Amino acid sequence: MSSNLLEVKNLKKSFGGLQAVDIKELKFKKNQLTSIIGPNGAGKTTFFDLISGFQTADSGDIFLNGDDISNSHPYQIARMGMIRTFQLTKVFDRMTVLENLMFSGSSVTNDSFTKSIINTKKQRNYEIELKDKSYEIMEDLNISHMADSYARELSGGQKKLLELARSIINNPDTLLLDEPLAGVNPKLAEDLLGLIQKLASSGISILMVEHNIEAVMKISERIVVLSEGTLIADGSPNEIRNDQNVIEAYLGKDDG
Amino acid sequence: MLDQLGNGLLLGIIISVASVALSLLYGVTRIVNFAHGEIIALGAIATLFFSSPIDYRILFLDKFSPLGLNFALSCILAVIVCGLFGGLLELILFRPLRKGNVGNIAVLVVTIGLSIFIRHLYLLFATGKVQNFPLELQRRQTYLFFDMTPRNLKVLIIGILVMILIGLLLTYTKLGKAMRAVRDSEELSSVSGINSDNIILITWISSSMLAGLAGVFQATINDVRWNMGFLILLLIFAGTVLGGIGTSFGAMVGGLIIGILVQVSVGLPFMEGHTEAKNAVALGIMIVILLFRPQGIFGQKERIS
Repeated sequence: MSSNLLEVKNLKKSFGGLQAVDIKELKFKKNQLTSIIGPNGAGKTTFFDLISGFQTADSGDIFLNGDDISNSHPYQIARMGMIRTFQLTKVFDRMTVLENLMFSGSSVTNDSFTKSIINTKKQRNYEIELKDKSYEIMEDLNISHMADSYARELSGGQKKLLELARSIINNPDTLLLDEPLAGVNPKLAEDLLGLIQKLASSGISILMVEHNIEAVMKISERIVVLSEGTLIADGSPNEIRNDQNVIEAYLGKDDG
Repeated sequence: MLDQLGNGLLLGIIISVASVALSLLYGVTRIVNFAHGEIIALGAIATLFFSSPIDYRILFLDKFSPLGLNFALSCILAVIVCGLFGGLLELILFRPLRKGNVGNIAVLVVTIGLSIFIRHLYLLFATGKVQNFPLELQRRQTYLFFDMTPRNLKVLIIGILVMILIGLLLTYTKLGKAMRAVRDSEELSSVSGINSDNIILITWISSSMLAGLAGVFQATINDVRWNMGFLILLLIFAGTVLGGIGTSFGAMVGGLIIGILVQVSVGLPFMEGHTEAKNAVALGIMIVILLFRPQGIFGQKERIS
């Protein structure tokens, strides 16, 4: 068993003539909070889509805990304990907040149709446990007063919180957070950062794509920088801050 | 007018079952399936093929002999055939279209083309003649305040039972919940560990089985025609829209209302001698209701699928 959580090798993906992702080798360690940054169009979200199974790479390999997941479907990867969020927050609109959580909570470990038809005592107990757990998480995230509201009635920020709650209800090993701070007010951004740090310190490995550089510098243990699909820098926040390649990628080359 | 209530209930249950099927499919996949009517007709034609006496040679260019099976068994087999057919459509046609990100309008046009194609295959191979199931004639009897044949009463009861079963399945089982989830967001369902391809396949199969059952009902009450599904499709759309698009419970009620309105309107004084115009009143009422409740009777606010 390697101690690497996630490992990609020679990962390539292009759209038409555009090389969206071209990464020779990239490894992520367990129990680390790593951020992936880069200018717009750097391939960050495509990279997320590739490792979470939403897109298939043109070539290359992806390993999660040593298992090859290059051709796995998103639901299989989710069941392996790597849960992602989306840049544009997704919730089950026509379910209540509680139903959202209970649905996401139950489906990974317990998706048998016969079990739900034959409503055993074990199943009922399981559902009670799940409900308690959902409430616990909602209290932590301060959305328990919304439990019976339909998710479509939530504000943008509340949806972000629900999404985070949904992604941790199954005790994932790994979280892929796609711009968790996008479009939220500064106060909530602060709260979310605190929550993310708390999750990281509870032992969840986190990979985060985020544009808020200040926040990234503050909470990341490691930062990976992509530009035009390739890896241009990789290191601690301090190393990245002073990296010439990164400065050029963000500000443009000084041809002076 | 009330003497038409029995007929109205029967037409209502046919449309209701078919509307639930259409609505279920639309709800989960966003496909408006114009070929729905052809799956309905397949249910009837398959039943005819399974149940007709083996010396009966109208079907299939006179080349194939029907199987002469027990009628109830034939109906069940026909419904299964429809389910398999729907599953096949998803696997060889609609899944590849979905994976290729083909837009909703393009898929809609595909279903229209598919409808015309399949319908004319029936015309070619199952002949254009109006045919009947091999069942003896029955006399109408009066039940409560409506009258119908004992066989049609059975159809009505089976229809109602199936609807109750579907309602329970959608509301309480994990499958039903997963269908609701995939309807809201396919991507989010998959990160919740749901194999959405499987859910969509199951939706196609169950929708097609229900459509097939509606066809069996329709042909038991009336007759088998190559274009029987197409003829009733507009009423099915009306039932679905009236109940609220994408809500199965709404489709059940909407379908029933449309069916009853169509038949009961035959008894209106000004309709005498104009029964062929019976759809007009029902569809007119549908338009008026939608003016006041654009989301349909059970639209949007409805919790169960």
